[in-house]
Amino acid sequence: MEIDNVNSGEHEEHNPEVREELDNQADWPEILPRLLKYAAAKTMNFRLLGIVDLDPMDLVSEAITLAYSGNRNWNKEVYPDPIDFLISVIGSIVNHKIKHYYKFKKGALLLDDTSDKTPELVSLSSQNPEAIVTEKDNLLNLQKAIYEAVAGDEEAGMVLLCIESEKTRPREIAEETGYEVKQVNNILKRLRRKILNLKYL
Amino acid sequence: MGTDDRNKIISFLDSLTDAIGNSEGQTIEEVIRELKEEGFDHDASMKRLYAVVQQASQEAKRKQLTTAREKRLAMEAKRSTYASKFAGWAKDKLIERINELMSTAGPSIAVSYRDLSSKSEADLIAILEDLQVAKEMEGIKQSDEE
Repeated sequence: MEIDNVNSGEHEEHNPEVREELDNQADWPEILPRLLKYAAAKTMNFRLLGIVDLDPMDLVSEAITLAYSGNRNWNKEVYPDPIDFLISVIGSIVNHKIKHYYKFKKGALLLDDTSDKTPELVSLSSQNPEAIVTEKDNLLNLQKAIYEAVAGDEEAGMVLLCIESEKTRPREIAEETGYEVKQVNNILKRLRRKILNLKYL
Repeated sequence: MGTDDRNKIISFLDSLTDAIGNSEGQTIEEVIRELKEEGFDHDASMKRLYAVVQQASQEAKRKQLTTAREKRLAMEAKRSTYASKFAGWAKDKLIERINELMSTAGPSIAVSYRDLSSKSEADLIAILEDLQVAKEMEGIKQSDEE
């Protein structure tokens, strides 16, 4: 998924039909737990990158509110079902927040260390060459740590390779690896447990 | 580290969490069981999220009604403009314009006015105002649908 701005090209004119369609088509008992599972996984992004932690419940709530507002274009060809649409909204929010975080870090270059800005913000600045090296090391170490976490688990390693080539749906991974979809889901669950305690910072 | 390198790793993490969060091929019971294993209080979580859905739906409905009201008020304002515009027209011109609007009217304006010549000028102006407003409303509806 591309890192894009939550506002870029997706916020169009208010569309009242989105509300009607969500009210009429969305099978909430089926959708909400799946959204929560997805949001819980996506918030791992923040934890792994050392960005402020985000509550999965808040993320789902934000996505539902944003979707209902009708300001987000629902492309039915790309996202035929309400759950696909809502998941895309969650993904977009997460990407926006990460992009915003890095933009902010870039912006921090302009901050004067002697100014009265929050010290925490200044310390995030990439202005310092040492900080740049640290960021590089940390990100590379994180990626390395993810691969090390699955060392010895051939199945998880295979799944990780699929993910690296942007195959993220269990069915796609199953086709690629020859595993059953159920087996892929179990491997993903294992993968989640393995990387749960990894951290960027 | 360049932005490209950083974005590659971030993109990898994005794909990784996409895959881990995907529930394709899982029954809803399996998803709920997983959430409970992760420490979510299922009933409380669902109760809170249903409330968010309800609130978001109501808020969207209110917004929809407000927008419709604003459009209606704008149309009403235009109606008074039409009244003064048509007031100076001759009866023939009023009938001509009514027929013109009727011939291009969409289904929502499919009303048949017979024997227009027997109507008074005031009646004709009222009919013309209605047609003009209805036509504009139809135009707004179409652009909303697009």
